[in-house]
Amino acid sequence: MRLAGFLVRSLFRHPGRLALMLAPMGLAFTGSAIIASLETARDFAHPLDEAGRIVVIHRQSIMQPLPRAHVEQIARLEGIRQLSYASWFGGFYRQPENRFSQYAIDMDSYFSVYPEIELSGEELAAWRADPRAALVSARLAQRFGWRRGDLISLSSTIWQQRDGGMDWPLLIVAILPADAMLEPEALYLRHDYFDDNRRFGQGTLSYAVARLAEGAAASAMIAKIDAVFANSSAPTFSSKESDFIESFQRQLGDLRLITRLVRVILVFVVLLVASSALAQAIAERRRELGIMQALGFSRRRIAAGLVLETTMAVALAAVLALALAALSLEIAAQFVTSGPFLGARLVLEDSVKLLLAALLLGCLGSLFPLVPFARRELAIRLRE
Amino acid sequence: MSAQQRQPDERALYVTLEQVSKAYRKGALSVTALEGVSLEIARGEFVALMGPSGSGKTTLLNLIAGLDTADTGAIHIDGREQVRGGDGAMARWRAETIGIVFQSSNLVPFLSALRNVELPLLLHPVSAGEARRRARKVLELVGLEDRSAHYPRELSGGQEQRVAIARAIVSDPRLLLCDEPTGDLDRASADAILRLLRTLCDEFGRTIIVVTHDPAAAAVADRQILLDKGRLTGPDAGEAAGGG
Repeated sequence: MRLAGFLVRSLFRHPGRLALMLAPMGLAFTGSAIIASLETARDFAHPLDEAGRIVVIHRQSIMQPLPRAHVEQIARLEGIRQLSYASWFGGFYRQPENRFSQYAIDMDSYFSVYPEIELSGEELAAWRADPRAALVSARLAQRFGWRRGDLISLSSTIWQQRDGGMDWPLLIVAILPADAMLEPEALYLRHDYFDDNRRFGQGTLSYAVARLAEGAAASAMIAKIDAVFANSSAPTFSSKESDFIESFQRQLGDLRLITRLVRVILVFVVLLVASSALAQAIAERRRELGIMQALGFSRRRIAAGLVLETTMAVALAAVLALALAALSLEIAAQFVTSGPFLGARLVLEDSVKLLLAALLLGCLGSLFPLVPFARRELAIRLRE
Repeated sequence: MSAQQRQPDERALYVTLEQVSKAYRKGALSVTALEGVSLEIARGEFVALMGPSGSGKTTLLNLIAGLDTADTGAIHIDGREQVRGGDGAMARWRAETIGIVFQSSNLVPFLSALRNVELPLLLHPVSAGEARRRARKVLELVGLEDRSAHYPRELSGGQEQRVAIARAIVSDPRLLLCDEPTGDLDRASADAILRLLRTLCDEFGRTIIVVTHDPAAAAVADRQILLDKGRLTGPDAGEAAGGG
């Protein structure tokens, strides 16, 4: 028997009690891992700031339309390399619960602002040839079993067709990798098709997106654009694309602050559970620990063993929690179509951080209960 | 451990206590457990430490084992003053010098008999295989080779004490200290334990000190040392007495 074997046997001496100890810690770690995955979901997409894009919306909100004329004015500004625009299309597929991100995008300029969208010659030709053409993300296509060439229909509760109909037929001409689009489940349709056929709102758009020329400072361009429209009937609010997406996803408040607070609370839960479990273990094993000392194990060696045992328990809880979180997110990915869990996934970096935190918590959680153990005289312990 | 026949060597002292005193503090009160105890025990001697409850027997044993420290006086083991270092130094000394058997609940409950016996060898530079071999050998010596895979809850009181003795001798200490080793056992089991201790003394030259109330244990020992109210009584009272 080696020391490691002894510690493992000691850890599993009461499997039922160990399970009761691991459960709250595991749940806390699972919560922490899932919250971390939410941040990952929010940070999904590309290195947005590196792309140097600026998004321009109506100062009031993205729900307020901007006139098309704004796009032409912005395009004339020095420092703008490419410019495009899009409109939000809030439809659903077959059932109202089948909602996902849908944007009507400008047929040509959008690809110059988002060069990460790569269409083959055939796909591009199809996109240009049919006004009903649509691009969908691979994940969305997988979810609904769509294939290239499928004719589908989106229903809208807002955008009525000129003929009064609420259904918008679309032809899937390309299936794109998820990271080429703004969100993992997204559909792009042609803005000209949308604009020509909607009953109201022609000549407007939800937002413009600009790619800056090399050397143009984003902050200066933001100020410049907003200054141009400050006194217009549709004043603008410009921001870096990353900030825009972040603010768009902050529908439930400051997600970052909330998630960090929750994670701090969860850390304390683990710390308290580990501490109380060890304190209880020391109280119960008083005689056993005394005998260990009588056999020649020093107090320091025994304390180190207790710290290692507690740390092993916390690390085990973390490993089980990571497995549970990964499984939960995998299952959730099959059903979640919107909201903060969309695109949530556990990444290696967060998993490693959680395991390191577990090791640290195991050590910290052991310190407090060990103080009385270190102070107690051995002979007193054996007489109890 | 060599199995050669030995007799107590009356000239070679192994344990010597000089004017050892110990008091415990209970709140504002100071309770004297031992007062001016001087004692000599020879190498290879089997001594029974007897006396009424509260007479200081266990305190004396704890002091010899280094589990507790004397307020005054000196303790010599094998001609060297007992280490008075920190906890680490005392623990190391215990691991190398003595084996201890307690009255009950001696064993670590989640380890098999074999692994309980291996436990002290974690402190010695021996391989896992060598530790296993030595543990099997001493379990065989105490007659429990067929119980090596059993857990403490699956052993009788007598068997548990024999495993505790096997654990106490596995690292080959010269001094074996037993605190009421037969206190919780029936007569037959107690006699078996006493015979085992006698064998360890006679055939393997171990110096054995047993704290006991059991007259049978006293009869098996080479000598009885009597304690009452923290002082030696009987033939060992007054001057320190040699073996026999």
